[in-house]
Amino acid sequence: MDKHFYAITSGITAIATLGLAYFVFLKGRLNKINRHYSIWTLCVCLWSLFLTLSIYAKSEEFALWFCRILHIFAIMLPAVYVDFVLHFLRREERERKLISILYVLSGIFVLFSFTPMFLTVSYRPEFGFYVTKPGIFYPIHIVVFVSCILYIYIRLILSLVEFRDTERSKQLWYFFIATVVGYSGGLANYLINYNFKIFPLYPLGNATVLLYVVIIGVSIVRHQFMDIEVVIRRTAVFAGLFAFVYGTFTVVTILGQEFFKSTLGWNQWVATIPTVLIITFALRPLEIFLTNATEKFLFQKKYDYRELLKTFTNEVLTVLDLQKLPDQTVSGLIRIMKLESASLLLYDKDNKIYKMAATVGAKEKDISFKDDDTLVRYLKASQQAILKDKSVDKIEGDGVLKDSFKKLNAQLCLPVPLHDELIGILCLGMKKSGEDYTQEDVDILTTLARTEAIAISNAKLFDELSKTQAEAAQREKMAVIGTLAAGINHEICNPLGIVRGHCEMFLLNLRDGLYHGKSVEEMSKIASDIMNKVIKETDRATGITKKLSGFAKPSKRSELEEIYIEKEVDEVLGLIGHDMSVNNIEVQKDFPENFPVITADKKQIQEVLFNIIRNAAQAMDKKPGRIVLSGFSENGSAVIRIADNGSGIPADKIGQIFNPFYTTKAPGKGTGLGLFIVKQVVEKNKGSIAVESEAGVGTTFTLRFPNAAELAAAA
Amino acid sequence: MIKILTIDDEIEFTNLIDSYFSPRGYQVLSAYEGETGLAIVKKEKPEICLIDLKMPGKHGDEVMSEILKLEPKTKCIMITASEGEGKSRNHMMRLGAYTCFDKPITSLRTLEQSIKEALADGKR
Repeated sequence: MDKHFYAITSGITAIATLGLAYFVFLKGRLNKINRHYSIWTLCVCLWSLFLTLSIYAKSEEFALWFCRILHIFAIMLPAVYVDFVLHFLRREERERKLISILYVLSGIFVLFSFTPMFLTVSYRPEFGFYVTKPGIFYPIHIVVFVSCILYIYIRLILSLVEFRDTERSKQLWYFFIATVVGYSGGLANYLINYNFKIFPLYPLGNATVLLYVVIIGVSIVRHQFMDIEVVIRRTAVFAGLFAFVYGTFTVVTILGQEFFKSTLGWNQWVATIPTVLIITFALRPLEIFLTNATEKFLFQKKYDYRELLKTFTNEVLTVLDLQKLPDQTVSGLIRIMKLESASLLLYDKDNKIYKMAATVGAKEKDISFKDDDTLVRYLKASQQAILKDKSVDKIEGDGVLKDSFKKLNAQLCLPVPLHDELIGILCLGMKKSGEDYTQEDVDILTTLARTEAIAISNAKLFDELSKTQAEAAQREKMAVIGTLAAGINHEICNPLGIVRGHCEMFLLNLRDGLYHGKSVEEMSKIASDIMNKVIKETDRATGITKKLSGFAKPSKRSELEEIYIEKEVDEVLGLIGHDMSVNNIEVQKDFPENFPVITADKKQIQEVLFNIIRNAAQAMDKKPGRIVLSGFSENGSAVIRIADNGSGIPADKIGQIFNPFYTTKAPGKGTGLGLFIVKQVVEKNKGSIAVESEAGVGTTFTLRFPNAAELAAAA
Repeated sequence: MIKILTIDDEIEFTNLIDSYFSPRGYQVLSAYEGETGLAIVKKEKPEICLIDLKMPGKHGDEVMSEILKLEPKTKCIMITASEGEGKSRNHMMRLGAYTCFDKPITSLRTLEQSIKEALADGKR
């Protein structure tokens, strides 16, 4: 029985390691490390295979033959192993000599392995199979083997210290544990050569080599060992089922054969019947169990990416404000993916640098990268993500790159590309769970970064559009001021004329002797009367200039504040009220005392009111008319009505009045942007505008704004 | 005594004219819009009318035309805004204005001169 167990574990190990070697090679045949790993694993595979074969060898001749071939791989193992691990630790250049010596030594051993000086075989009844009988050189091979393993353990431990707390350290840990487990069992095989048969080293020790394959498999899935991330679910289930069928068949059949043959004296092939039955009944439940187990064990901490994409798209990518988008992206990712840090750098065309647009947790908050910096160059050339622990030291200039990652406090840097152009860099830090970024993470985040690029470009276009709109609004305003000139002239020049007149009068009176014989008191009174008038009139002129310059100044970035509409209406009437009264337009104002206060940009609201009131005045066609400005509260919203009894808008034109460049005015009199801008501005301030009109009867504009309290509640 | 009627919605302007011309031997009358102005013209028959062009209610040109219909001998001096100066000036002169002044009046002395000339013209 021991013999069979020993052979079976070796057989499964051979198949599993072959699979592993092939898989790793397939996933990265161009990578030196992967190739070395495959060679080493293949050696383990062939070693195991010939171990199985030598156990079942029927004659000494065959046993010796299998044993010698087995030992070719056993001899090569230390050198191949050291070679791989030094490549894995990227120390192969420095330890080139050691590697060469080991290969030469192995070569010599291989030559000797075909002589009795190295080994012969002898049948051991207590084991039930042919066992290697060590020659005089054999111990040297074991010493080299053990020394190499110990040397590598030391190297691995040193690297573990060096790469503490990184993804790499986790890969190293897995690898370290896997090889300790694997080799401890592997080495136990040598004990039987010296007639030791200590449980559990014999026969269980050999199974630890298989355990090694399992640990490496987990390392690949969880920590991208050998840079491989696979959807392993099916493979794991398949491997489990295969092991079950193979194991059941071998164990049950062999046991059954002995039982039926020796105890019952039946035909030994009857033994296959229970095997078939077991396999038939147990296969399906086992498949379910294995599927659940792999799912639970290997994938339990996977993120629900559909949720991530959905939340991110809904919450972040719909933001059209270029100032807010980066902040929301960063905070969104931090929250959804539970990251320690995240930063977004955006390309600044004017300065030709990638500038920090938003960050949480970066060590240098105002870091920027030039076009020719390593990070930018690599991202541009590869259009692929850089994982700090995985790819950084494979890239030229890794020192600079490592430094950049450190400053950004990043684990993963993703390009944010738009039409082959790198418009930004998304840098993500460690996950709070301490888990590593998997290939699946990187794939999803790469897609996300692309979507982010579209969002940024949308926000930029929107920003440019609003800038163009702002410019158009300014032009419109200047055009309006031109038409205002008459009114302004009246409001400024009249007070100045009066000031001048009083001063001139005083001087002329003096010259004409009109003040002759006046007492000092009388003169003081005359002078102070004049002074008071001067002060009053200059104040009047100053007031109007202030209003005008306040209106003409381009609006800066929106500043929201509480606005009392009636006050703003008065402000506007101060500018154009005289013009209207001269044109015999009567203005009525009717705002209730408890009219809702709204939150908006004061300047923009003034512009809106100004535009609509002026339009109303112009609609009178120089005829006397009336404008009624009224307000009321409706469901908490502030509703403002501006009604005129002017010429009205024909029904077929009313649909167009909010369109840009639509004007009914004579060329040069209006830009056709007034109402277009009014609508944009109203909507920007969370309001709405509606118009009702009847040709020959008049027009009513209705503005509706949520009140300040409502707006605050919504936010 | 020579009567000057000022028709202007700008009270300060009528006050200024009053305080300048009264001590110089004129009787200054004031109206703040056209209708009142016309009523005063009917009653007082002033020699000189200073009329602001832009006023609520009847505009200056209309008021002048009506004054000249009532009292063709009245010398009307129009006060116009500087905007569209040439055009409105010609328009006023065609309607029968004696002369036009831009607002604001730059010199009271010049206005006084003009009034004197108008009066002398009337005597001829």
